[in-house]
Amino acid sequence: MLLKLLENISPKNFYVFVGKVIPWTLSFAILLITYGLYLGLFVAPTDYQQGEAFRIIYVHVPSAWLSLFAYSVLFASAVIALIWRIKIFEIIAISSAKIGALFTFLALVTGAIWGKPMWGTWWVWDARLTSELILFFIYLSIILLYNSFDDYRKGAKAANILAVIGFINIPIIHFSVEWWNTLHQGPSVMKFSAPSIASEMLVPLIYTSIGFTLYFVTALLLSARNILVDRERKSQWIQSI
Amino acid sequence: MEKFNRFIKKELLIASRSGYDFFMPTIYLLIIITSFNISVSYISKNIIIELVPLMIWLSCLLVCVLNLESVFKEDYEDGTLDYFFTSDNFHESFIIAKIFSHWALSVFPIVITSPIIGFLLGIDSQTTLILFLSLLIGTPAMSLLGSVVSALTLSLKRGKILLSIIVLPLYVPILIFGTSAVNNSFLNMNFYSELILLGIIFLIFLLISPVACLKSLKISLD
Repeated sequence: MLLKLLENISPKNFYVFVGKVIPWTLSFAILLITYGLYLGLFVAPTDYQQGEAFRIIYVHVPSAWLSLFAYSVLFASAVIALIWRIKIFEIIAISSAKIGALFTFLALVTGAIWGKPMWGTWWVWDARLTSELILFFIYLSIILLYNSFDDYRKGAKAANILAVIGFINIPIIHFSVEWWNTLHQGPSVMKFSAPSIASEMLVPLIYTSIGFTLYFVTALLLSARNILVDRERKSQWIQSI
Repeated sequence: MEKFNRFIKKELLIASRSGYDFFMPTIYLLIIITSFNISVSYISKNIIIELVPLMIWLSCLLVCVLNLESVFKEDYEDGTLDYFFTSDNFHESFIIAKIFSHWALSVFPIVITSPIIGFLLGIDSQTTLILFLSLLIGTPAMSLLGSVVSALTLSLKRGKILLSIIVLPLYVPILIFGTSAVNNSFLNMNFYSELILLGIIFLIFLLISPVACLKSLKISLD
């Protein structure tokens, strides 16, 4: 079974494999996201404190989760690419960085939209927001580094090393930002101490999270396939398809 | 170890013959701090005195970032790196010696002068000491981490801005602990934990960065 899966890491087999997987992940993603959003937007009760505005969490929380998940995928494939020099994983790493950056941006934007009615400002120098912003910068720097090399394999290798360094650094950044925040800024706006969420609100969140993750997988594979086809334009197996 | 000493001796010799390079970071620091003071001069004096140590820290960080490009640049351009790469001299000891001599020549002058500047601008003596200590621990960590990124962007033509973009987010922990230590000392609070954490960060990067540097240099050189 595992060996069977491992066969898919050659460029040609990967192309075929992605073609087989994408319809499934995409349809399940659409199904789960629409069902989750329906439950979240129409069925879940209104929050007594935040009103209707809380419903943005059904987009915000999955994006924030994916911003971290995409980085773990990026790190894992970067390590694999650095150790075994597998071309497909270089491509997966860079597409994961791109999609992760998008999700981080989405998390920041939805957070700002939620923050405006709740806190009265678009932006607060809160620990979590700040570390998310720094994560966004790290994603951007990985993408920029990748794109500034003429030779894409060289760029991919450099970006992979940066991804590994970033992965080591992210916990330190998170810890330090939390340290900084607790010392400098009194918790005036985020004071409500993590209210345990009601199950009618939680269930849609789980649906949308899984749906978003499946969507992430779909987008990742599609983007990887596009990059692959773009690079192998002149190779024989592409000509034969 | 003998090799290590030889590398460092070579670097120091080159620096001593080239003259004024040693003073440039210090002059740059002075200019940045002057511009900082001009730009915040509209705020009331009480707030400015609180800002001064933090400002000096941030200026040192910026000088460090601008310095980074030159860690491997000369050796890359005149082919020394290629030579080391093909011979079996190309080891972690070379890289550590390189980073250390770069730190000693272009960052250490700032570490010495910034407490003097702070003292002249009216910080108390304890905070001056902590400023010195936190810079002394923090800047080597910055050099270690930065030289990896410098090695990655070595072969790029427009690497300078990219280098700052990559490095600054990664420097956030060092900046936070450094400024926090200085600020706590200014407010007469406990600052030891920040210094210890800075030391831990330094040790982590001391472990990682020679290996990562070697790997990145190999990529840049092929």
